[in-house]
Amino acid sequence: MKNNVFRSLLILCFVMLYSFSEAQSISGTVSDESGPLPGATVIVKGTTNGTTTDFDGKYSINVGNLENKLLVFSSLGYKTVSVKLNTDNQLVDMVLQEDLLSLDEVIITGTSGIATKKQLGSAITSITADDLSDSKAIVSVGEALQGQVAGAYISRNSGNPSGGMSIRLRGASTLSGSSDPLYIIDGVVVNNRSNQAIDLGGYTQNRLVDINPNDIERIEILKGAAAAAIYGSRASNGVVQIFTKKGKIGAPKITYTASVNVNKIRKNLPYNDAQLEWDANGVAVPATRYNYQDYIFTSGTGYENSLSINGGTEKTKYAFSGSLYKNEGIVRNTDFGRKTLRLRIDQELYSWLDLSVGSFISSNKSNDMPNGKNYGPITALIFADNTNDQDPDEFGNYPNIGLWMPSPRETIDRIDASQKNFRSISDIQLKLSPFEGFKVNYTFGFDHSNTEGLLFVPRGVNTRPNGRSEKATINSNMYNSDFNMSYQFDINDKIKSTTGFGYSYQYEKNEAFGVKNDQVGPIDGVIVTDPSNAIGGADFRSEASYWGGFLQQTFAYNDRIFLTIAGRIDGASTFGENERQQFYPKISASYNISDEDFWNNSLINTLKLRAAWGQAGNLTALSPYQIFTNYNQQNYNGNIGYFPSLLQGNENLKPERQTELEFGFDMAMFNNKLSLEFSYYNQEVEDLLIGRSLSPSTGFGNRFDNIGTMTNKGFELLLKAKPINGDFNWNVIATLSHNKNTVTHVEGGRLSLGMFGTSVAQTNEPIGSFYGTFFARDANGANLLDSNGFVQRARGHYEETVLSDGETVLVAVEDYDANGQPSGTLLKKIIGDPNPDFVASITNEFEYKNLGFRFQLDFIQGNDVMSWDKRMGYLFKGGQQTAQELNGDVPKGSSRPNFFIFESFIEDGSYIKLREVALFYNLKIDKPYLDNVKFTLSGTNLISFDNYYGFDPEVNTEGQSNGVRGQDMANVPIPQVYKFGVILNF
Amino acid sequence: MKKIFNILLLSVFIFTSCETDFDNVNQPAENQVLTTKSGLITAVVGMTSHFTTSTLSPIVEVPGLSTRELGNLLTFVTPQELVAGGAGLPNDNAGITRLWNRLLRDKGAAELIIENVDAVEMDPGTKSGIKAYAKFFKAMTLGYLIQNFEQVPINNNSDGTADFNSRNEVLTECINLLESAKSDISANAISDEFLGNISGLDLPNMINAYLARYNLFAGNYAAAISAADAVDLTSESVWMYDGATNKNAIFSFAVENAPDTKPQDNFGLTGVLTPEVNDGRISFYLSPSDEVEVPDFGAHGVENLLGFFDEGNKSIPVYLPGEMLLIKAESYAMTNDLPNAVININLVRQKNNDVFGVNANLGAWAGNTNNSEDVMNEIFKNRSIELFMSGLRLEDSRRINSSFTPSANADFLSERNRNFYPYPFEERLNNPNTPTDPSI
Repeated sequence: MKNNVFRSLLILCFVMLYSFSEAQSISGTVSDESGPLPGATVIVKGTTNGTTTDFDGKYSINVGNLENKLLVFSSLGYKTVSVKLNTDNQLVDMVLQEDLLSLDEVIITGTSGIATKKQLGSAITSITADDLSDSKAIVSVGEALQGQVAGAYISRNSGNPSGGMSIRLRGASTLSGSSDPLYIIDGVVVNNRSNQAIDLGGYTQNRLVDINPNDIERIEILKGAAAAAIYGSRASNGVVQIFTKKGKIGAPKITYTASVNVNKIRKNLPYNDAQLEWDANGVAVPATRYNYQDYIFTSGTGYENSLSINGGTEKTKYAFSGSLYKNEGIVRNTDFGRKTLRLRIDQELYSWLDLSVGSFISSNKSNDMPNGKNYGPITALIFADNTNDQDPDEFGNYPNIGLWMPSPRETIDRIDASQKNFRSISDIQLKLSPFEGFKVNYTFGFDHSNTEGLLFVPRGVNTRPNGRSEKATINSNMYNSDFNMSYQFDINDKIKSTTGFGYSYQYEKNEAFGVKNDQVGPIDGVIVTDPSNAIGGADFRSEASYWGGFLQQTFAYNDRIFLTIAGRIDGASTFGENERQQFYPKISASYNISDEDFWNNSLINTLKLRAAWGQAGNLTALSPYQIFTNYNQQNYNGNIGYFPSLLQGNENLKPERQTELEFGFDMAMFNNKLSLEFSYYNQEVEDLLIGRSLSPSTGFGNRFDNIGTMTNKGFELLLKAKPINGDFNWNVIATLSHNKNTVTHVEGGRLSLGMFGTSVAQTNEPIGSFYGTFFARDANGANLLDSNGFVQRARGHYEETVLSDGETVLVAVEDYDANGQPSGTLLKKIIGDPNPDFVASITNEFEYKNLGFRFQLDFIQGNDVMSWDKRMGYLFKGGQQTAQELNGDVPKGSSRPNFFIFESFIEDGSYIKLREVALFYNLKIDKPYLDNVKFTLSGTNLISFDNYYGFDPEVNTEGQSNGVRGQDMANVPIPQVYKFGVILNF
Repeated sequence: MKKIFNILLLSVFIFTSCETDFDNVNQPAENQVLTTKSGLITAVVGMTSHFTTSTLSPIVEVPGLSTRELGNLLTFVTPQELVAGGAGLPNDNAGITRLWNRLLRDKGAAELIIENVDAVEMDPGTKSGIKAYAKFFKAMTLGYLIQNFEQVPINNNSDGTADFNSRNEVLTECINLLESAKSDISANAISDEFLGNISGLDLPNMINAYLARYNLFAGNYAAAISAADAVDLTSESVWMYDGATNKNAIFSFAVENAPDTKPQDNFGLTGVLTPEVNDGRISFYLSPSDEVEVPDFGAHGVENLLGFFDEGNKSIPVYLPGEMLLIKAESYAMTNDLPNAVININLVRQKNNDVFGVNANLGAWAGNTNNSEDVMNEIFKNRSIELFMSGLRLEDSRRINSSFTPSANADFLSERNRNFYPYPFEERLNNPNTPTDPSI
């Protein structure tokens, strides 16, 4: 079958039909208030005959017979205008009016067929390539979206060159799985897993890093169940649909982008720079201390080249792109390189049948640096006593610095870890419109990815003298087959009906395979060891499928009031037979009140009110076979044995279900110079699947149960403004999001989510709250010091307390002895919250003629980060705290007690970051061989205003993990990037 | 054109064959294992494998750190908390958690086998073998639990609310299980089919040896003596390792890859307990090293570990014949038969033909054979040396030196710094029946 797909693709590549009819030619210039408008679409109404304007806003179109024809001018972000043609006007110039709200914009995601934004009852974020900064240094789509999406909390998990992103739309919606949204690229549900082939200690990529951000034409984002219900079972985290560039009618447009960049570390981790150490009598004596970070971190460089060509005729359109990307990390010897190729062909087969075929190939490789418990430069950094010189001696021998892992330098110089990925995504889409109002779409998408991880520790590395060699692969194949149809007809003059029906089947197969050797040969360059000596490995194969169908009905009254009702039934192979079929309803309405005749408000030009309610599920929270108690193979003495795994099975699990109510408005004011989109939402997630810990006396470690509920309430605001137009242009885009997450019920009242039990879910507290030991305090709230004058842990007893959901938790009650000192058992309580109160962003762009300047500020307020880096400094001698003791700034021994008080390393994670500052210049060449050249000079993540102890408060040691947020341990910081780019339009 | 269309139309129908159920080809589920003879045998093998490679390490390491068998060389938090001990020892110490969790998993696996084996048809000799072995296993895991925790659940409970039982109840259960195992195999001799899966193990002798052990702990001295007498001292039962996928569990944490814990000089014994210089067991278990602990942890010297542990593929005895002699010595001493106690002490001291090579090769004991305290000290000393790093030191110290109460403060020097461990955090969090932690 695959062959057939390829064959048809191939044939299509060569069959490009040419069918212009020589006739009347219309030409002109399309512009907006500030000048010529390139890329605007000019189309003869009711036909596919159209073109786009060139860099100077000029267009030319052959229209045949002019009689009764309408020429339609449209461009994203502008109001669409149509002009009646008559024989006189061979020249039609058009000035388009900006439309910040874009209510006429066609939305595809979540609608059956297509709808304009004005019809939708729920908020949708639609972002075009123009909205995305073309100067920002980014490796993946996620970074491009930072600052663009109201209601989203987008953060980078680490500063690795291929570092993963976490995207939370309207808060977390699950405890077990990932809260990242469902990603769809051109109709294909794609894999955004963050599997590690080899566990290098939190070194996760998301598979979205395979995609070249330059290919993106548009992104649509549905944020909650109310909008996403027709994606049903996989949509409770929201949906991000990416549309890649398509060919447009007209002469080939060629764009070439090239850039170079330099990456630097923004801030060193505080370390022990006192040139002192304690002697045997506890006296500070001179010593040499090294800053290991000088070697760990370095400046990296990178480059990117990207070429895109697109064009087409009335019947055949094509888009092609290729890119090369390479970037070095700020940790020495790390990098990420990517090559991509993309091709899309749209072909009209018959007047009633369109075919679109897309193919995408990406190949990338990263050289990584482990950050795990066995080796890792930053891990070693936080545990090492930096009095040891880590440089090798003249014979190349690296000193043992007295840790259980090699020195940072030895790890960097000698240990090789890398990951290679190959990705291909293909799709075939058919659009049938056999008669007026009736449309059928069929999409078949196939997503293949292959990941290969390698780890090589040569012989003679301190702490692993025999070396180690590991290779592991993850092979993933997914396909989706989606069939959708819609029928639109007028019930009467005022009321229109659109009915949609769809069915979808998704299948995925994942295979992991690996071998490990604990002993490698002494010959340099030979890194493969005979697998017959392997000491272990992995072989895991799994299959899963998800299926569902929906029915959606929309009524439009007078093109002003819209009402949509939909229902969907879903299933997943990963759930037990009895619970797998689920029904998800939705209802939404919008009222474009400013379209009414009575609307006469000079201040508010446009006003749309909307409300939506819906449900969506999370069928992907479970991995295949997790509902069973499985036995793992454990051999003994040559016999095959099986032993129960830690996970106890539970065949009665249901998918999690999110119910969302949202309402809001879209408004344009001051002559459309300012737009506001506001939404309030209230989400409730029921039947939360929780991999709860079990009492070990069950014989198991954990079990999935539907034992929780959670709410997310919040609002989001998107503001766009163009305060000044003309020669000088000023554009503003700002977002503000507030989300309040509350776990309203977990069985047992409190549940450990990971990171050594410090991230918990507790009834009436936000998800991922930090739980741990805390300072003993006196009546005035000051730290209660022990006989040495040191801080100490609170002690006392636990009292059973019944929470509002009827669950009982043990609540710490402090006790004191006769001397007023803490007494009793060590106490733990909730000591922090990783969820921000506010996430905001503001981007200002100024343009004067050809010169432009932009800056983006990102704000995060009110979240805590647990800095394990700081904690280690309290105990281990390379930490800044030991320096303070040695220097006599604080009493000797006063830091150590803090190590055991988890509250002592809860840090304020708020920051204001200068995400990007950029200068750009547009040079018009206007020659047949070159339209224009744009030069960009930018800095990304240059400054962060924060009070954070460690490298950077924007961090998630556990990657996309959902419950464990805001934990920072030996994480690679996000670099500062300086980038120079050139964009050539031919 | 038509052709393309046909291909595409065809693809619509071919691609949408919608499978909705997939078998797990990686692992069997519980009901596939526990309902057939071959499944139950794999469960026995798997349980043995898990115990020998995973569970045995905390059995030896955790009480070893609390009783000075082991010194601490690095600054990992887990051993650091254990060598400090005292009331501050937190209930989320990873070592204690491992000890508790792994023993309970093994016990649970054994319970599932005991529960299901009767319903499966098979040769009576295979059935009796599976049953007796699973009962031995349950008794052994219960025994290791009660050596370290004040109360433990005799039966796991999949709801998470297992009841805890007192030390007496638990030891009685251990003894009952072993007696029942004994009668299983005397009713039907173990079939060759099953024996092939537990090679290296002499089940009848193992059962008697552990009966002797638990009767001693329970204070049933006569029963302890008669069980010890029933053990053939030339029989060898060992946990086996291939050194690659199954590595000697003690080797893995105390020998391989610059370990953080190593045996203390003199087996961690001081004062009257200090081993005699010509004790042959010193060179059997230890090879000299100049390494010293970090000063914070007591600055004890440490040695390199030999014995049953210096290579990844060495076998570890299930019990040592010397233990039987010392059980008898102690049982006689506790019943005021000091002459017989001394006879057995001397059998150990003068042993030069041990099947495992644990030979003290010393002369007869020169101490005061009429002083029961001296006799008990000699027994403790010999247990500590003879049975070095077999997970018994905490139990022995608490039983024989019961008048000593460990300090509530961190203590790096005393014979032991805890009597029992606190119940692990996860148990307390999820099981409302978890008893109050022992004060020390």
